Amino acid sequence: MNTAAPLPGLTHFLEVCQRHQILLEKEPPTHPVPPAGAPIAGLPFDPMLAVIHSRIGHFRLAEGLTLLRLVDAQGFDLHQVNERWRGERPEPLRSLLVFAKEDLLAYYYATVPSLADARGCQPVVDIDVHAAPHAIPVASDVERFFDTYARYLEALVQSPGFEEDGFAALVFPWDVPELLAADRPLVELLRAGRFDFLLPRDEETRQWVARVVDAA
Amino acid sequence: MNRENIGNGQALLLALLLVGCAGAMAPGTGGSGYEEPTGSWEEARLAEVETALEHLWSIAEGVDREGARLSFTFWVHGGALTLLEHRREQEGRAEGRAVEESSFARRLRPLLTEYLRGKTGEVVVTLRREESGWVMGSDATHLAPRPPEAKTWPVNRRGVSANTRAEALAMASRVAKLLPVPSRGAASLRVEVALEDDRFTDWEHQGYEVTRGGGGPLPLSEKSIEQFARVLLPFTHGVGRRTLYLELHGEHEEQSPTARGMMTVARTRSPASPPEMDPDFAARYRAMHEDILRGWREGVREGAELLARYTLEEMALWYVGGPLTRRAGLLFESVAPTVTRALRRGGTKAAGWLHTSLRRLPQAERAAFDRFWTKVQMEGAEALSHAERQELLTLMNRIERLVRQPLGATERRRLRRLARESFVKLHPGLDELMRSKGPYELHHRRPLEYAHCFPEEDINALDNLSAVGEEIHQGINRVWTEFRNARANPSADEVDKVVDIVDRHFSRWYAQPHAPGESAEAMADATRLAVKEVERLLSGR
Repeated sequence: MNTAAPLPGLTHFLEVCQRHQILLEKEPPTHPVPPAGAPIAGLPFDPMLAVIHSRIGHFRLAEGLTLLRLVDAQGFDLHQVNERWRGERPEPLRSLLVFAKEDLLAYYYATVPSLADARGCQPVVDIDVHAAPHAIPVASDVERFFDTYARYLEALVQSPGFEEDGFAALVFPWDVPELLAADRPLVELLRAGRFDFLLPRDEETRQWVARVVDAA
Repeated sequence: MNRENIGNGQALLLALLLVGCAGAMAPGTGGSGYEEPTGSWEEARLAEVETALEHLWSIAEGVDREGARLSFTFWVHGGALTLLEHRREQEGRAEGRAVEESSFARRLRPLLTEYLRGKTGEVVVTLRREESGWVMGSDATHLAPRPPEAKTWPVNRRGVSANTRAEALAMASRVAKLLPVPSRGAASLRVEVALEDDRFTDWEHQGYEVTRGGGGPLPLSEKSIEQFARVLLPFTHGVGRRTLYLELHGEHEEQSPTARGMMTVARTRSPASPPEMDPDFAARYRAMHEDILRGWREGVREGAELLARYTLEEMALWYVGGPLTRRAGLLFESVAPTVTRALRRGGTKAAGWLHTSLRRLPQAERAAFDRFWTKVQMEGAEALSHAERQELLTLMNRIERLVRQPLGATERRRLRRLARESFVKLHPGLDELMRSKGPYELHHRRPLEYAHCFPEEDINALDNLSAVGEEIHQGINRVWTEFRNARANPSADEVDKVVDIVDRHFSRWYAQPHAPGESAEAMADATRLAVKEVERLLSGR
């Protein structure tokens, strides 16, 4: 992808963050960005993520979402996190490429190289490694992930419980299946069972997937 | 300084001097820590004066014998008056001239007004009946600690509600029945009456005695009962639970069909705080309760409006500190035994538990909970209709089922976000310190997936949370993974044993900044040793 390519999802996301003043940290790019498909800890770098990193180096939201840096002086960056991830995680989580996490909690966001489309763009999953580690799909590509997340943030700050429960008033992605359903390619991937190798086999997940598909 | 027979000018001067020397209390937080209602403080203070004048007059107007002496001990604080004691100290002899209420109020108003302008402490107002009217005096020299039932905020309301008036009359009738008076004889009675805010909740007999023998028992006159009620009413302005100790005297004069009764002593007694009560919790509850009660007394009836300025955390504290918790066993033990046990512990632990449990309810159910609990706190459980009571029971049963079932992925994530919010809010310094070397995460020592094994505990309690470096957290999670893979449904005891193993091997990293890659060897050793211990625990060796 051309680094000048438009990124409406990311633009929407940053605009929402700024409007609601939930951007705690935002840094410009400071290091050369690996080209699309370049190996990051042995897995191909997502082309959309490559373009995103050419526009923004790092962010952290008050809501928790945090984009990993390409290079971090404290050693918690895209390369090193994925190196450790590869060494510590069993399959199928091992073959995911982590690019973001939720601040202070063991929830991560990763692309799925094995499900890359013809352009090389990878879907995005949400990974929980607190208890039995598992992942659930949240977007058909990184751009759509930011667009969906922007709409989630809008819904969150407008939700009736926001004043009382703050960022716990709506939980991404569980409380917003209808927002994910707007990502039609994601729904198609779900319908085709492409994420089945990652999905936990519990009733809550099954029902949630059904709600996403039904909402579409 | 015991002053009597002094003119209004002198009384004013002395009152002004007292303002300066007795811990003057500027209108502000009223000692409660809550913000004062802007603009209405002066109005509220004046309402306090007028209400006190009405009460004093209602007691004094029936006393017309020259030489009779009445005393009223008030606690004055931040512009609020709370009556602590009333005594009818001396009976008069010859009947004096009639006194107008307006002249009584005109003479007493400046005295009370000046005390309320800034004085904090005890004030004794004495009234002595002379032939032409009442002579007023006051004494503010007695030093005493603030009794817990004393208001610290003035209430912008005149008089008492019709409901309270009816309750006082009903209690006066009940008390009067305990004092049968022998014809041509006399009797005395001691009794304790229980109060909760404005409400009379109970009474207890403390002793009856015939002081002068005579014939068969006679009831007290209606006028006496009315007089008792007038004495009871000013005591309904206090805050919280307390008892009112009463001494009554009755006598019968020949020819009269009924006996005449008088209340000679009425004195509040504060209940002793339970020894286990955390003073900080008690103080926070007390301040919040008075603030809500003030709104209630000023006419706000909607629970949502009364509680609008409070966070859910504060509301949980108020719920737990109030009377409903004490009566939880009676009200809903059968449908919610776990909830009842969790609440009965009282204090910060119960409030934290309730706070977390309520946050698991959808908004509509939370609103219903607020509505019912507020009604019970302010009006008593009896005020609930049958339908409301059933709805409350259903709600309590819903919480009971919630806390006993395993948390789903959505709830776990919601609770983790809530834990993060409260942790960072309470430990901003630690948050900054922990970020200084690398990313950190919040570790639930008892994991959320086993919260249902400890339904009476607040899984998000601060003592269940530790800040650990991200890699350390992964090491801890590996230990739990071993346990989880071997035990699908562990007991609470087994979970706690693993908590203990994890704490022993990893607590050196709790609340310690940690850089990625740092102490990798020690962490690997800790993980290996902890996993081995878990294996031993599971194999029963």
